[in-house]
Amino acid sequence: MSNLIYAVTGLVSVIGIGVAIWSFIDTRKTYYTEYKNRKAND
Amino acid sequence: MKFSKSKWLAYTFLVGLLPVLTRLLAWANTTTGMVSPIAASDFVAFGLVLHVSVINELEHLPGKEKEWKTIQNGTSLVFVALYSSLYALTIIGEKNASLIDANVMLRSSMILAMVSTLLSLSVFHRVSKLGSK
Repeated sequence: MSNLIYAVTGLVSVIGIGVAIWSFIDTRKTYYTEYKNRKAND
Repeated sequence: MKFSKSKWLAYTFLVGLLPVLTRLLAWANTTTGMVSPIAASDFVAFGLVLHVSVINELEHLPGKEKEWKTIQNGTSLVFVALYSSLYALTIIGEKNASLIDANVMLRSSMILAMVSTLLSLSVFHRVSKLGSK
């Protein structure tokens, strides 16, 4: 039972950390591109 | 709509931490052994507060964020389901200590709570960027 709980926690934690890192990168990419485009138009 | 990270810290993070802080206060004010300083159920409550606020915040985002929103919503739902299962196991463990290892539950819920904090931060980071435009 303990091993199962650890395994599920580990799996979900890896997914969660992956999604969080991807989200930070995606936010940076999206908003940096928009900022650059706005600067170019000014 | 402007949403700053200090609002997230005050309304979500600190409110979610209330059960943990209350337990620590009770532990500090009682005689040794009466109240345990940390418990899995408090971290489960903390995680649930974070993910419910994330799901609520995602509802108000514009349509162009569709893909990102779907991934964050799905992840939050997985976490809510896991926290619910952990809470159910904690309740079972209260009456039958031999069935569930309390230390495993505690470690598991603490790790998940840390990951939930990171996820919640990533969501509110984007929401604050969106609000500052």
